[in-house]
Amino acid sequence: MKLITHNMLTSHVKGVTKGYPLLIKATEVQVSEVEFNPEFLSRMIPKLEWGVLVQAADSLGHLNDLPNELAPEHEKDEEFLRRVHRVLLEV
Amino acid sequence: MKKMKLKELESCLQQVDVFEEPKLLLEQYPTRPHIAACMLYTIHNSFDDIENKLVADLGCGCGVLSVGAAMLEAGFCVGFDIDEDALEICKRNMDEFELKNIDVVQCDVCSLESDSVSKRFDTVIMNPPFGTKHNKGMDMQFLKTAFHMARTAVYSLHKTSTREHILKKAKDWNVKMEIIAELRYDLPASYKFHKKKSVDIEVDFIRFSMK
Repeated sequence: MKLITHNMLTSHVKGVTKGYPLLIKATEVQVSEVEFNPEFLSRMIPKLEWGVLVQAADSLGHLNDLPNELAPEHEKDEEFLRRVHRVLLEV
Repeated sequence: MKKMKLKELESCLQQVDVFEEPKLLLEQYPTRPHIAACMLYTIHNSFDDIENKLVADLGCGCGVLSVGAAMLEAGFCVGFDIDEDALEICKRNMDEFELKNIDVVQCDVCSLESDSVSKRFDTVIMNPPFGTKHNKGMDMQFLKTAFHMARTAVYSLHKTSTREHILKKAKDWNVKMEIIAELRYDLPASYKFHKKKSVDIEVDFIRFSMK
């Protein structure tokens, strides 16, 4: 499962205002190249549960220097988008 | 990438593998490549709900709709199905076409409803079980889940005979419904109780837009 899928499935159980994400038990971690799509990424990033992504990536040893907080104007930083791309779609 | 033509899409989708042993209980039958291609082509060209969008495919089965959506450059597409065997074939299809913008999740679509996925997707596409035989009401359960997940639009196939019922439900759920096409769905005999070689059933291709 890619981390973007994991992020979409972040658990919001009824009655709990902030559900905690599904724990990841990885049996195998793979990284595979995916075409970089900055337009899609900049649209996606604001819709992600950012904290969950950082936590998940970290737990798999693929944090890739993602910051804990999203910087303003991150969508103009291609280097940053490429790092998000790696974590979100390639791990 | 240059724009893909309808014919090209259809001929690609003809190479998508389908169920080896369809399961009656899950009402499994493949979405014909021609119908899948027409659906996706319309969604893409008339409504621009695929390219760069986050797309979910509910009850994806062997993934013909997901594969097609990925080919039309969906930002990312997630297929959901309860059946592991179908998902295995789906993954094989993804690999064969070397598509990287797809993922699959094994789960019961009906259990997603109260769960985590509220409004996380732009578009939901599906060819749900029609809700016959042992599955009464399954079509509506799928719809309800889809409305829950989609931010923009849901595309689905439903028996024309259920149109009035769906119209009423859509109104109850405050969703705008537009019938894009009426199709004759040729259902090839895939189960023992099917006496004829194939039957045509009348099916509506519907777009629901979230208000």
